[in-house]
Amino acid sequence: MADPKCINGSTTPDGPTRNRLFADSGGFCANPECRLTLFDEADGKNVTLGDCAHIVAASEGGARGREGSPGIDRNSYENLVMLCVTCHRRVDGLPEEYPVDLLLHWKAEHRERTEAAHGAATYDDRATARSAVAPLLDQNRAIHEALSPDSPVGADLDGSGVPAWRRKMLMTIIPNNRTLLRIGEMNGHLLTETERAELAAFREHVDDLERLHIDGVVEPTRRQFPGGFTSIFEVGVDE
Amino acid sequence: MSRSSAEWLQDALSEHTGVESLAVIGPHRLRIETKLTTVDVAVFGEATLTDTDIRAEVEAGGVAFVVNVPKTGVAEASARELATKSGAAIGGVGDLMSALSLADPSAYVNREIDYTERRLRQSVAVQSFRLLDDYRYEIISAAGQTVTAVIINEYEPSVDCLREVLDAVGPFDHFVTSNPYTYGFSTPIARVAKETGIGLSLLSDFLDSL
Repeated sequence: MADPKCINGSTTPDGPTRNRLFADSGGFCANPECRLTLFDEADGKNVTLGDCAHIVAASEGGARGREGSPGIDRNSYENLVMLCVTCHRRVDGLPEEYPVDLLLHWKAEHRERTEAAHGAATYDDRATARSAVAPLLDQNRAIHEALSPDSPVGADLDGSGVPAWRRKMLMTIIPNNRTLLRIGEMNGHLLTETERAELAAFREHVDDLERLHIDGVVEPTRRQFPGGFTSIFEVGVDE
Repeated sequence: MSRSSAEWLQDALSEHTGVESLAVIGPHRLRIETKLTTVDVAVFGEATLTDTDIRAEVEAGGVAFVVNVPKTGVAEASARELATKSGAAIGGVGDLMSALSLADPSAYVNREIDYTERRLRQSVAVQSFRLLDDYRYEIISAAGQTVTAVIINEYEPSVDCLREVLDAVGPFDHFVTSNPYTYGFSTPIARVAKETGIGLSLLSDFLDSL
């Protein structure tokens, strides 16, 4: 297969790779001096301002194109970073100022920042932990009720709700799920035995959900959201 | 003494909140009163329902809905055409439940079948089509190719679903889902489809392939 060319604004990672990069970005440009939001809306239409930018260019003649290791998969997740259109043009136009190591650092630091921004921390008591998870659970439930295939919008057989559902899944539900998992894992000392089991079931559900919505793989045994997880850290539960 | 189809349905509907009263008029006729209307329903329990099965009842007049009770039962095109010609809707028990919420149950149309036929009618790739039974369409493409397809609205079509349809109606060319939310098919159903020589498609892809 011919080496795909990045035409600075056009790149050829597959769908699941693009989805994973968007999910990691939290919706913001990875350049720490930019952080532009990657989506905008005008006249009721959604516009994407994000590019999957090559760290090592798609071809040897491109920006940083000769810096990759032999056999590098230039369109792999590891070689791509989510930038806004302007930053993509800047890093490819000035490769000496934006070397591979810098872009890899941006990517790693941006992902850590996105995770930290969702407020995963260790808490002293269940009430505080509950106050951290409740808004995320509420938001995911609201999106599910409004846009999921089981919602009234989902009843439209022409799929008018599909774009919004998939966008909310990648940009909100999946990141919220990751935060909920981290809060649960970092606050295991506050969990009951039953809640530990619910957390384990939730972890499997999250993994299956990402496999479906990020990787596009349909599993016949996909595990549903464990209903008991909605009451995790609730005060008054026998500790 | 075994119960008639109408008696069976009378028992099944006795707790239904939308039903005010039920009266068995004959072995294959049940009169159902709802808040909105009173209708006669022709009731059958056939694995494969044909026009021969329903003729006497629908031609006697006054039937608003023909229901074939078995969950895996199939109504052939001949039964569908005769019911429609006689002014009655036709379907399974689930369809009947939906129809009873209407002021005129005879006007009931299964929305998924209605949507599928609209897509087929409006597709430039389709010259003509007809419903062979509850599941299968015979489709003649614009290029003159004839294919048979089962078109369902499942979000995640399962192996069981495919095998049940095969058991009910026998072989066909394509198994298609029209659900716009689906990402596709799992490995197990892909394997079964390959073993049985059936193509799997999303509806848009299926129409593109014609």
